[in-house]
Parts: sequence; C-alpha cells; structure tokens
Amino acid sequence: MIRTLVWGIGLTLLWGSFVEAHPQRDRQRAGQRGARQMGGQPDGKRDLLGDADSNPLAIGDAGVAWYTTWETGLAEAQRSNRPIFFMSAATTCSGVPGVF
Amino acid sequence: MAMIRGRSRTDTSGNQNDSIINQMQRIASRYTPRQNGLVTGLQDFHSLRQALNCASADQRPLVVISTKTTDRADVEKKLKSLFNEDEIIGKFHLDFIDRRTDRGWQAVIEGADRDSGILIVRSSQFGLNGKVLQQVPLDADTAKIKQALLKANRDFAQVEVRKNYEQHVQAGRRQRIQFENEVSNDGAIDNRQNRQRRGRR
Repeated sequence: MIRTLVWGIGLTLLWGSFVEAHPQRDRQRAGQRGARQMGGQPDGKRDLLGDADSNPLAIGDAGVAWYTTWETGLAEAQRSNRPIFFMSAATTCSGVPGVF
Repeated sequence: MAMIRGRSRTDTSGNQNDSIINQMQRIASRYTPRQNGLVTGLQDFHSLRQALNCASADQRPLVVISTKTTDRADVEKKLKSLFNEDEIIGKFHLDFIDRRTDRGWQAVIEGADRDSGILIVRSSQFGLNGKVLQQVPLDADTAKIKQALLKANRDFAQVEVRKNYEQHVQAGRRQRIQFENEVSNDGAIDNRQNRQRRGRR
C-alpha cells in the first residue's frame, strides 16, 4: 500500500519536473529531432516509456532535472509543497556502466 | 499504478500515455506549489564516480564544482538561480567535490589542473573518467558562467552521439568493463529463504 502510494504520488513530480524542464519550444524540437534519430514520426508525441534501444531526447536538449539523493528530493518536495516521483534505477546493465 | 508497473513495451500507445499524464495531473492538482515552488535546489551526487556514471548514462555535460568548504554556500547561492533558468535547467548534471570521498579526483578528469573552480566535463562512454570542456573560476560572474555552460553544451551536442543501449552493453562486455555499485546496508540483498516475493500481488 505504501509503495503504491509512493509510486502514485511520485508520478506527478516527474511530470511537473518534465514540464518545468521542457519549455514548449524545446519539447517540440526534441520530439522532432528525436523522432528523426529514431526513424519515427516527427510529431513530438513520444511513448512515455521511450524506445527500448535509445533515448529519444536530442542531445543537448533539456531532460528531467532530477534529484540525486532522497534527502535533497525530500527537502525540495517539502519546501515547494509538491509530490515526489520516486524512481530507483541502476546506471549499469550487466555490470557495464554508462547506461540506465 | 499497477497499470504502469505491469505494462509491457509492446502495448503502449498515445492514449495510455495521455491516461498516465491525466493521472499525474490529478495527483498534482491536490497540491498547491508554494509561490517560489519552481526554484529547485542544486544537485549533488554521492561521489564523483557516480556523477560521471550518471552523466554518461544521461548523456549530459557534468558540472564539477570544487570549492573550499567555506566557499560552498556562496557558490551554491550564486549557481542556484542560474541553474533554474530555462536555458540551463535539465541540461546538466552537477556534482560538488567532496574531499573525503573524491580524493584524487583530478586524476580521472583530463584537463583538471586546478584545485578549485567550476569545470564542465564530458563524461566518457562508460562514465569512468571525463574531459574538461570548459573551465571557469569560482569567482566568475553568472553571465560568464552561463556563457561557458551554453558553449560547453553546444560543443557537447556536436560530438556526442546518442547511445544504443544494446550496442553499448555489448561494447562494454567486449572491453571487460565492470562497474561495482556501492550498496548500503539498507539496500543489501535479502538472501533469507522463504522471504516474501516482491512485485505485483
């Protein structure tokens, strides 16, 4: 129940951060450039989970401005009165670093 | 949220994305952000090692800040507003050098020849080291720092090629690259028998 709550509450902050870090013009541009890189439709509308092979965001464009520690994320959520999107991920795959 | 956790990559669609976004907006609507709610704090990783790894994985330039302990608050204050500007937010990762955990940090960053300063670094393919793209002193004004950040980001975007995950992992295996993650006691794997199975119930 608590885990579900954390996930539920957390999704909103991700979206809030996503919108916050992506002014509309950047988001449209990222969608178009990313789609071209991936061979998809340049409509700026991408699947939320992304593609399995690579990140559709154009390099140099703004992504999610995420917090690196629970302490700083919690402090910011309390300060700004926003819910937390909590996500746990390893920056390795099969022990190989440099990839989420 | 089971819908999100249980969803496979093959059954995603724009409608489902819209539904997720609607749910997120519904949750967000229950909260009223404070007046200055959009001014976020600064990032700081547990270690430079992890910062380089994340910057490599996210394929963003890494801003490495080395200060004397006494200077840090002043630098943070100066950078906080800068890193919340539309042109900057979400484009970089930040890490403050910790003298205890990051001993010998200059050895893994090519071009880091000063003890203190603001370094904009391109992390290597596997995030094990990096190279300085731009460097500015701590006492530089925000306009100069911003100029260096934007130039570094442009240069970074020119040379960095978006990774293909599968090819990246294959290349790492071929080169026998292994990264040991640090797992705290809290995150230790529970090897007890008959422990409750995690996941969807």
